[in-house]
Amino acid sequence: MIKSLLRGKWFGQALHPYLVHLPIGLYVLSLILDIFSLSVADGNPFVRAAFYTMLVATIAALLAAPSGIVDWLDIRADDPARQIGIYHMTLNLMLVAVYGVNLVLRSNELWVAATQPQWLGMSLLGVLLLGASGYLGGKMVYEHGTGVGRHRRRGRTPDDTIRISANRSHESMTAVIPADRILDNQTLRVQINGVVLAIAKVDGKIQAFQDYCTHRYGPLSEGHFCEGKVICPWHGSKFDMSSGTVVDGPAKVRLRTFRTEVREGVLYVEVPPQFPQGGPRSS
Amino acid sequence: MPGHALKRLLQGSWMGHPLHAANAHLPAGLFPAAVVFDLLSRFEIDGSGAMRLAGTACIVLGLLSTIPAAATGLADWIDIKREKPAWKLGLIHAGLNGVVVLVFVLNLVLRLRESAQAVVGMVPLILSAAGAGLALLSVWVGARMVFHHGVSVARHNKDTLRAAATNAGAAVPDEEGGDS
Repeated sequence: MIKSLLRGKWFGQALHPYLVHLPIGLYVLSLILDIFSLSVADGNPFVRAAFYTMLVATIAALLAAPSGIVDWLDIRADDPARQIGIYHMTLNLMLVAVYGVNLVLRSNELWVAATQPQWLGMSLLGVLLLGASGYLGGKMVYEHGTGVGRHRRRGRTPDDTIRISANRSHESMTAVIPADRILDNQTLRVQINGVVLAIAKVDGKIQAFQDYCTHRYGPLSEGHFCEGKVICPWHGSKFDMSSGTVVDGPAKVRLRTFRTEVREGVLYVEVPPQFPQGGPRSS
Repeated sequence: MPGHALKRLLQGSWMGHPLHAANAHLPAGLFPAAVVFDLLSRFEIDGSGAMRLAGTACIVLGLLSTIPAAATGLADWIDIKREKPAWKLGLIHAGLNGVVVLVFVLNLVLRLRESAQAVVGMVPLILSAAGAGLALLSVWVGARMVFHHGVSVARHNKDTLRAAATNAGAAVPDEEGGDS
């Protein structure tokens, strides 16, 4: 309940990017007020204003953290954004700690007429950490699509990629998982000898197709479904799940699809041998 | 062509992400923050006028930061195809931003005529609240363009992603040109 609230589905988009404007804007402003306190005759009002803006920024930063953690938990374990998210969080913890000390030091000497050099140094460090952290947050969204289209998907997205090395000289079909382990409206991301596929069960029917969208390579295993079609979370390209043809959207190239079969309670998928030729390097 | 180079600069190709999104944190954070400090000023939390100064500083830096934000936003928007829903959202976003700027300019003029020691007057407070409300709405529309329509997502790194997809046995389009 709290988790879904923090994820921002009700809001129609991720909540965390919305909540971070306040601390980012105010931390930058606080540093500028510090610089002003040094350049006017009586800088005390600026010293105080710098303190209060820093205080509100720190409270806002702490309030933005839970929504960030919830979004992070949603990222697939082998998505590069998962690791970037850890760096992003580490930098944020560091900057909140720096500003925490900064605030305590300042609170004891709020009457001074100009910002003290050691406070200014800490604020500069804080803004540098903020810039680095903000850059990483932007990398998650704009390079890895974290949170993009997430509000449209009902239910969980895959936690991880299932990696299978199959010996294809014996059988053309590869066993994936027991068929009862995939539920309706669930998707799997599976890598078989380097080939990455999305396997979706929609209305009782299991279908497999390439995970990468043919437009900008968004993860179709994190897409949503509508009348036998899969819709890419990033730019909304729509594909027929059984034929792979483009129904709508910016994509122009049809998806590769893969035959699936349930045999003796086990889900099999056929990855035709023309792809690997020694196997593409795993990604 | 210098116009093209300027556009690429404003779009943030050099850093790999849209510059507008980074820049927009300033007005998007500072305009709503002005309301917080205006309210604190009216409650006379600190008698020295520090809250009043903080609120005014939010507005000044907020307004200044809208200048590069408008330029970078425009550079991103002109690459969106007209038939896309995000094109219209961009217009709404820009229109709302224009109104927000007008509200805060008026706000700033009014408050600069007040005494520096007094609590923030009712009219500037109301203008801050109205401007902040519109700013938050505008930010929502801007974020909608990214998180619902994917504007600028996987744009600068598409070649890296294409290589990963090819490696993973996926069908991919032919190498594309400069489209967005």
